[in-house]
Amino acid sequence: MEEFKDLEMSLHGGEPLVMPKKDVERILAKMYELQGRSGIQTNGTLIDEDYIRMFKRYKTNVGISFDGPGELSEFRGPKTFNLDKTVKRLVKEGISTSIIIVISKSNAGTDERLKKLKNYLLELEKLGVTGRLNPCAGAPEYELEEKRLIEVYLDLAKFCLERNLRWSPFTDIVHGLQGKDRVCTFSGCDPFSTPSATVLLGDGSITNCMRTNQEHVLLRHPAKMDIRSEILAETPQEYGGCKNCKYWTACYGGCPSAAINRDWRNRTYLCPLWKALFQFFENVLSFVEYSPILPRACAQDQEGIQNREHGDWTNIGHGDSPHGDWFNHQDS
Amino acid sequence: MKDFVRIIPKQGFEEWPSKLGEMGHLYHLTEYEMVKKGYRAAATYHIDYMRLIEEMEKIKKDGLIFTPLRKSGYYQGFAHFHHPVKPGEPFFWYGCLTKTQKDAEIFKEADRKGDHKIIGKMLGYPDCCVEYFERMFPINYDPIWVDLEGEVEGYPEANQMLRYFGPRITSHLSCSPNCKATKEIGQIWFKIMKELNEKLAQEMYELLAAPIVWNSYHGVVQVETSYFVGLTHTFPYLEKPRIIYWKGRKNKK
Repeated sequence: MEEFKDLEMSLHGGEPLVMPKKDVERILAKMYELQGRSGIQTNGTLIDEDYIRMFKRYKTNVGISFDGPGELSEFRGPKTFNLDKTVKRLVKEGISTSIIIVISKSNAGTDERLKKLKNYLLELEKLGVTGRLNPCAGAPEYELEEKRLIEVYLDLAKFCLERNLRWSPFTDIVHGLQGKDRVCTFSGCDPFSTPSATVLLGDGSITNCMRTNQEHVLLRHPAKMDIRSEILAETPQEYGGCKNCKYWTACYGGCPSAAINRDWRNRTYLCPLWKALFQFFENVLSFVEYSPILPRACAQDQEGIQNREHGDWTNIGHGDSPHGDWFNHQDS
Repeated sequence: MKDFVRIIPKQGFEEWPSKLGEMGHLYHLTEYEMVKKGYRAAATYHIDYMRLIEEMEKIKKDGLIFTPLRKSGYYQGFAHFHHPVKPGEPFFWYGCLTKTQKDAEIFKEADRKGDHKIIGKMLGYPDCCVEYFERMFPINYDPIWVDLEGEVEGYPEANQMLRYFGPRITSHLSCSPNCKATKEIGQIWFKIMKELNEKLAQEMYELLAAPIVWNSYHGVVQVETSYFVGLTHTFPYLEKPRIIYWKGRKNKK
């Protein structure tokens, strides 16, 4: 941990609070010692008086994964139904609190539930709590269909805009359009190095963001490369790439953990949603005469790429060295 | 797509990137020895412009001849082609290594004409693999058994799916995973490798015989073994990935 003391630290799981309390305290205390604060992302169901004392003592930023009161949290299960009280309590105790809300059928499947969710966002605004609104992924029975997902997010975008509620992804989408720093999702991820997230595992190994690293634990590659961006910039949209996309420099193909067919060499399957939101906020920025920064869509070396698409490689080197196929020519 | 090679070890296998480098080195030593010991007439050879004198002295001492054919620019990682030399930038000499002047002249002339049959024969490649290469390279410059995908069994000697990262037993691209001629030639290469470094040679053989997933898509091939994932640039399959699930096979007749 000392090696990474200049990075923002947070204890993640699974669910980190299932660890023995003394272990949680040890880790939070170490973060506090190194940085004067600490962080945790939890489902919140195990937070009790001991943890509240701990969070205050170690100046812990507490991220709660909570989708809204009562039935809005069906996706996460009944144990989370009353977490709104926990959130209120944390705020009352002066603990820095944020929320990750997963948008699913539970809280946005019907207009009635969506209305309740919006009301809860207003309650959170009064508490000074914001966070992220993430689309549900990996649980098909709770995921919204694409059309509904776009409808819900556009509705939430309009709602947040009208009431000046600052939730991601909307703030990040605006930042993307303005060319400002934003969440890693829209920053061009290298799934094998993930500079935005360094993960320290229980055995001391260093790996990359676990969202992109779920099937087997790969150690972190020390250098960031732009391979994914290069692929997506060159690959036509009908084949899973982003070539000529107007929003390329605001999005860079989205998060590889949500790539089409779970293949990081494709853009995100959430592309239609992000495009709709980029369009919405582009219109807003244009209306207030703040022109979005959208450099020309990616279109590099069009002629050469077209040749490759048609499998025509005959004029780019064959005959030069048909047998010169090697890896490390200096060794011999 | 820029040239690149990336090796990402799995948890607990941190030593593999350097081990793969050692395997690549062993392969190159074997390439040299195969000519020196007379198992083939020629090898392709690369000499950094700064090491020309030392290399030439070694080659002369070993009774071999290096004939430069062209200069090539440097690149990151693995190369499918020779790169143009930029003025003022480092380069290496590409040429042929032979035992006799006559062979050097034959190779040079075949190279000038682009006669793959003669070049392949001098490099000790099976005729079937030379024919396969001539047919496939113009349409796919990384021709790993282009008609195959899904589960594949074959000889470790024919497995070129890790060559981007170093490990390979033979120097040619085999026409089929079950090419018997490749297996026979590969047994000679493997014998020489074992003479140079038995433990490492055996380990490389086991690696090439073990399950591998070779997955090529959008210009990047991702190869997964039990110990690491390797990535490099390759022929850009556009519509869908071409995936080979290598089941391996050891010493089957």
